[in-house]
This record gives sequence, structure tokens and C-alpha cells, in this order.
Amino acid sequence: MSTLSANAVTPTLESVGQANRVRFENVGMRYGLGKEVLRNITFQLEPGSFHFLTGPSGAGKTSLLKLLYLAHRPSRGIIEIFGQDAANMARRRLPALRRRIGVVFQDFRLLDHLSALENVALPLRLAGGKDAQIRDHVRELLTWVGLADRMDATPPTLSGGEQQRVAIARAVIGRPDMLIADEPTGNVDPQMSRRLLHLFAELNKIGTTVVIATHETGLLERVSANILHLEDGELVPSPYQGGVA
Amino acid sequence: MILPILKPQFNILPDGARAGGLLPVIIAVMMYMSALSLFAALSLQLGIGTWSRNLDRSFTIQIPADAYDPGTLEDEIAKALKPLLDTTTGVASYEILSTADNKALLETWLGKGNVTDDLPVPALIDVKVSDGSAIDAATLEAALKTFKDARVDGAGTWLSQLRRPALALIANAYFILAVVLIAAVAVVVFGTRAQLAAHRPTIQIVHHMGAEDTVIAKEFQYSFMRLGLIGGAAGTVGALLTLVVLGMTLDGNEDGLLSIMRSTGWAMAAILPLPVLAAILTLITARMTVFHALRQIP
Ligand SMILES: Nc1ncnc2c1ncn2[C@@H]1O[C@H](COP(=O)(O)OP(=O)(O)O)[C@@H](O)[C@H]1O
Ligand SMILES: [Mg+2]
Repeated sequence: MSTLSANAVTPTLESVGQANRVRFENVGMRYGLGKEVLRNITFQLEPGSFHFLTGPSGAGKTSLLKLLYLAHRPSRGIIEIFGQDAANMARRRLPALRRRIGVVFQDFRLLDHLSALENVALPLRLAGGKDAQIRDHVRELLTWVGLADRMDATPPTLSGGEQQRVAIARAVIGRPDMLIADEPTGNVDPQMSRRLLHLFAELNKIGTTVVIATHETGLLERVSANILHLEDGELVPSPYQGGVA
Repeated sequence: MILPILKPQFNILPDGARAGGLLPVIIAVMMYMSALSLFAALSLQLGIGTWSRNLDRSFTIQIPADAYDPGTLEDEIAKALKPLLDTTTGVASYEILSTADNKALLETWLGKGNVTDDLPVPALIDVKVSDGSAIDAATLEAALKTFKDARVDGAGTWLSQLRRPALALIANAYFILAVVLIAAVAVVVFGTRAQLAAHRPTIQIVHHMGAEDTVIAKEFQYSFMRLGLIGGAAGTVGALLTLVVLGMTLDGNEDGLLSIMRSTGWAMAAILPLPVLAAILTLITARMTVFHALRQIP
């Protein structure tokens, strides 16, 4: 249903400015000429809020995230990212908006020819940072996620869990205004999963809006968060919501 | 790389994955053909210009063999034709070709030893026209018509016969140049697209990380520019060598079109910037191709 999620998920609607707000209204999405995989999606993410996107496999979580990180245009509806009309925005204005969003892809998508260090440094360099500062910053973060001795390794030589931590480090290094993660704890042990969630929470504390797609309901108990629940392409009331917030 | 700023800034693509393979060879061959056709066009153009300027200023007076007696011709000219020529405005000087000169001219056509004394040879008088004079063959012939059926050949007559094929050759050369350049652009588009396709996932990632189109294009354009520069240099050097060898094979006695093409220092100089032009062409082509491809990614 299109109305419930906005109310259920965003209790502080009026309390914050509109500048960094993310808003979907009656959004539909399809791949090519196929049928809509998302229908009537309406919700609002206030700046600095923390959200889980839940739902069974195939419900449309990844597709919804693609709309959020501006990798796909909706077939209908309004998408407002950081207060700007993203669905109808001129192409040349999109990169600057994208650089304010950090993404952890489900399949990591690291650049195989670059070292872990260079992969993580890429967002800072794209944003025009200076090499010396970038290196220190990146080393610190990679150490924090337990990859101090793997910094110069290339992704193909890293384990799945290590690659995932590199991907997460790359997504958070630039302190994005919004962090999007697609099943980010799928490949790590419970202890590392807690550590990563803690990292997201820390980032959230300094103002980053966080959206994490997951089908692991175990995660939900650890962080106080809002839940967007997808079933077959539509947002429905969350079966977990009562137990969390 | 030539300048540090031309280095790919972000190493978005793996080293050695950039433009390579046979592409430099193809570019070199195309730039070789471009250089030669540009040279042909320019040298013909330059040549035909000087040449027609020179020829416009001379006429040949022909006196049919049966209209004069070789023994007395010089006297008659001194008596009757000289005053006529002297009073004709625009005539700067004239020279009666000796019988030997005449025979030599004919021998180039008929072959040595075939020009016998009993062959009826017309008497020829070379007339040089003063600079800026508007006199043409018909006016001169009218002025001389009282003298022994004198016929005046303007150089213009046979020049125009030669000018037409020369112009056709020039047009052809430019056409070939255009076709080769279009093919070169197509090859670069092809090469860029192949690179884009090979690294599509990577490009998508950095695109979605917020890399500007210009940043991604830079990762491609300079390697193609280098290709254009190297290929262009190789092609141009090859073309210059070809021309030098060609110049040495011609022994310096050719007439007509070949003689025009020999006076070609300028045309040679004009093809020297070709590698730079090739570099700019490949750079812009690769850049535009990347831009186009990126517009297809949402
Ligand atoms: N690239 C694609 N092209 C066509 N259909 C797709 C594509 N990606 C996902 N889908 C379809 O969209 C629906 C939602 O998929 P997805 O967003 O990946 O769900 P989830 O992430 O919740 O598992 C599924 O029916 C899936 O088959
Ligand atoms: Mg998914």
C-alpha cells in the first residue's frame, strides 16, 4: 500500500530540514519492457535516519536500492534525493549527487586490478582529494575493518569476507550523506557482522542516512531502526516492526 | 605519456588494457595514405598555380612550313614582324627558335633520327608577355595576321587541357583523403567501443560512484591520442620516405604533371603537422565515443 510506510517509518517528518531528505512517491519501476517489479512505492527517509529494507528474495530490494543510488530511472512516480528531483534531473547533475551516496553492492564490484587500498581510495580521489591525506585515511579505515595486512592485495586474492569489508570501506570512506548496502553481512561471521553494523551505526551517528537491505531478520534485533518491508514489489507493513522500535 | 596531465588519473582501466593490438598499425597505414593524398593534392595545387602563372605569360607564334623559306625567314622577321611585335602593347620580348631547337623539340615526340631535313617544320617564335598585360592569343594573332599566316598558340589552350585532369586529380586526392580520414575515425570508434565493452562492468561501477563523464573519457582518450600521434608519425615518415625515393627515381626530365609534383618543398612541409592532427582526431573521436556510450548507462 502506498500510504502506510511514510507514517510508519518517519516519525520526525517535520523536525528536520528538507535539504537532505529522500522521498519516493508512487514510484514504479520495470526492467526494459517487462512488468513492473516495483509498484506504488511511497516512503520518506529523513536525514540521519537508519533503515532496514526487508523482504523475501525476489521481492525487489535490490531494485529499490538501484533507484536510491541513481543507477536506474523509475517508470513512474516522484523520486527526490537530497531534496532534488532525481527522476527528471539533467544527466550532468547526477554525478555530483551520486558522490554523496555510498553503496555496498551485493556482489561487491571492486576493481580487480586495483589494490584494496586503491579501491577504497577511489571515491575520495573522484571527489578531488589529495593523495597523501587519502592514503592515511584509507589505511586507518582498512585497519579498523581488520584488513591492515591485506591493503596491497587485489580483490581476486581476497576471501569473500575480506572483499566485502573492502567494499564496505569504499562505501563509507567519503562519509556519504546516504549509505546504501545490499545484504552487506552475507559473507562474514557473526562477530564481523556485528562490527560492520557498528560501523554503519557510527556513520549514522554523524548524520548519514543508512539503508540496509537484508533478509536476515537476526540483524534487526541489534539496531534500533525503521523497517521498510517489501513483498512482491510493494511496501507492506513490516512483520518485524512491533518487536523493534 | 608526453605530459603528466595526460596520464589517466584514476587507473580505472587495468594497465595494458587500453588501446593497443593492431590498431596502431591500422592508424599508421591510414595516416600514410592520408599523407600521400594530402601531398598529391597540395603539390598539384601549388604546382598548377605557379605553372599557369608562368604559362599565361607566354605565347608561341607558329609560321607554317609552306609559308616561309628557311633561308630568308630571319630577314623577313626583322623587316616585317619585328616592328609589329614592337608596337604591340604587352609583348615584353620574343625569341625565334633556331632550327636545331625546333628539331630537338620534335625529337622528343618523334624520336631521335626521325626528324629529317625534308620534314616540314613550322617556324616557332616564343613571345613573352610583360607582367600584368591582358593580351591574349586572339589579340596577338589579329595584330600579326598580315604576316605569313602566323598562328598564335596561347599556352592557355594546352594549359586548359592539362588543367582539367590536374583539377580532377586534386579533387580525387582530397576525396581519398576524406575517405581515409573517415575510415580512421571509424577505426577509432570501433577500437574505443571494444575497450568500453571489455571494461563495461568497471565503467559502470565508477559511473555509479559518481565519476564525471570527462573523468572516464580521460581514461581512454589519451591512449588513443597517443595511438594517433605514433601512427600519424609513422605514416608521415613513411610517406616522406616514399616521396624521397620517388623523387630520386624520377631523373628530373619529366614534363607535365610529374614536373609539377616535383616542385614540392611546401607540400612536403604541409604534411609534417599530420601526426598532430591525427592525435587530435583520435583524441576527440575516442572522447566522443565514450561520452556517447556513457549516455546509454542510466
Ligand atoms: N536486471 C534485471 N532484469 C530483469 N529483471 C530483473 C533484473 N534484476 C532483477 N529483476 C527481477 O526483479 C524482481 C526483483 O528482483 P530484486 O530487486 O533483485 O529482488 P531482491 O533483491 O529482493 O531479491 C525479480 O523478479 C527479478 O527477477
Ligand atoms: Mg537482492
